[in-house]
Amino acid sequence: MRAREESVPRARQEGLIVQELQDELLVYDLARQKAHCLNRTAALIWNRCDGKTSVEELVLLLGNEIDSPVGQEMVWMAFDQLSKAHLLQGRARTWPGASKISRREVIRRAGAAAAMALPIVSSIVVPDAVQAATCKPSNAACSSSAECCSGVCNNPGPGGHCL
Amino acid sequence: MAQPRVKQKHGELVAKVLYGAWRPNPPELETCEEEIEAVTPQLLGSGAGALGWHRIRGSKFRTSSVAFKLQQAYRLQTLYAGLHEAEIEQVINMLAADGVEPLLIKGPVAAALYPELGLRPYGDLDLCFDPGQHQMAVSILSAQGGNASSVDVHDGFDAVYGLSFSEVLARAATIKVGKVMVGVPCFEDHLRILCIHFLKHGAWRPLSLCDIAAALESRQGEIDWDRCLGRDKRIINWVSSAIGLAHQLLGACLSGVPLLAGAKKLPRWLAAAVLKQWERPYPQSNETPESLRVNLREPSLLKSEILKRWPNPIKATMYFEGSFNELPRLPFQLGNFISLGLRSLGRFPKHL
Repeated sequence: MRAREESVPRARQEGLIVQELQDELLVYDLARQKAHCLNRTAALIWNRCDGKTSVEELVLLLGNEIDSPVGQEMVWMAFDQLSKAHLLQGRARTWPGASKISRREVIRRAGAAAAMALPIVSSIVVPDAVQAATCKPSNAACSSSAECCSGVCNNPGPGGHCL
Repeated sequence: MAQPRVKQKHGELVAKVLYGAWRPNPPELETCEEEIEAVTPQLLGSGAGALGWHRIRGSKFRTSSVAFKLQQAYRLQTLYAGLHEAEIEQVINMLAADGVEPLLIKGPVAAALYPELGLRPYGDLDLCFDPGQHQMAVSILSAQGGNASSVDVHDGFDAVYGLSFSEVLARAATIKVGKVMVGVPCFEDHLRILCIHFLKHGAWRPLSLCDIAAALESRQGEIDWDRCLGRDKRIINWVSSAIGLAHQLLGACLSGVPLLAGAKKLPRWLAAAVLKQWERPYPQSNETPESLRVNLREPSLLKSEILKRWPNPIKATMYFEGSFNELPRLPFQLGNFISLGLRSLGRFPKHL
């Protein structure tokens, strides 16, 4: 029963910007310049990744907090996703069970009610610019005239600057 | 074949989606998924994606695929807000160590008007300095290299705002960013800056009009409207026009705002010109005469290329510091087009 004895991994803390929303946690990885969204379950697990608590204890705590049946598979599924997102310290640890852990297997074991509580760590990607600046002031570097407040980039390309 | 359900023009739809979107509890949006989808590029491209999400997150559209895109913008902007907060803190501390006191202006200050920081994105940190300290500020920030690369340094205020740095600093307010207090223009000066900035850039960005609406509805206590408007008739006309647009297009509440003739009766062409700008996401709407040289080799395309670059009447009016009234805009537009063309004429021979 290796899984029961094992302690949870430690959450990475350095180089991250964390913002808490009502029902999810947003994490920005400064080194990799990647943004992640943790749903409530994944956030609860990540926040309790202190390197000391045992997996079994975490399962009990989680069950109380989300008021839904929780199995060890669910917690390991979260570790797997958090590890892939580089949000855990140390080497990646894998589910100690016999077969590979899958979303379908977790739902089968815990019941359909658990589907809503599955941990999800997703990447945040926006198709278009979300931070379009208005325009660049005089003397700011520019690559085209459209970027400049004056409407004129004196030498479009490297070395250009707005009039 | 199914009839398309999107009947309104995209500019009107953008206004519809952003109507009251800066409020903690925006009004219910009567629309269909197709309409939201139709203007999603405009919302994302102009930085208003998160506001779009805020407007629909309490509605039946919240689980739609188009809502997901807007929600992603909101999430990313929320993270960027945290990043920027750390940057502002670092830069302000750095400048303060050398006795340089800037005023934080534009995007970061406007973002504080919204119920959540992630609703209003900003790319650069706009810092305005006393002309006497400007060069020193540039040196300090340049020495920091990458750490201060997102700072836009302003040498006082552009003359078009009719504000002197010392006056604005004397009546400045402060806001807390992270652990530091930063000077920002007082409500009256800030509203004037927002209004003129919106018009100066041709009103292309709906988010800037939301800023004005959010500022108007966030005001507390007695507002010194004489200070906000000043005595210059053109500035009164600009500020009044921008306030009128925020009311007419986005539903900004004007109760308590003194009777501003310009705000009550906008020139007939003005709102339509703004909505036309909002039909296209940045940067296509900002093509300039300068890039026309590339197409001079193909005269058959010249007419359409000129039309594509024809200055919008709002930007052209502001270029010549004109007033917004019922007079035709053609002289402003023609003058603006020729002026910008001439400024880049010196490079034509190299490219022809």
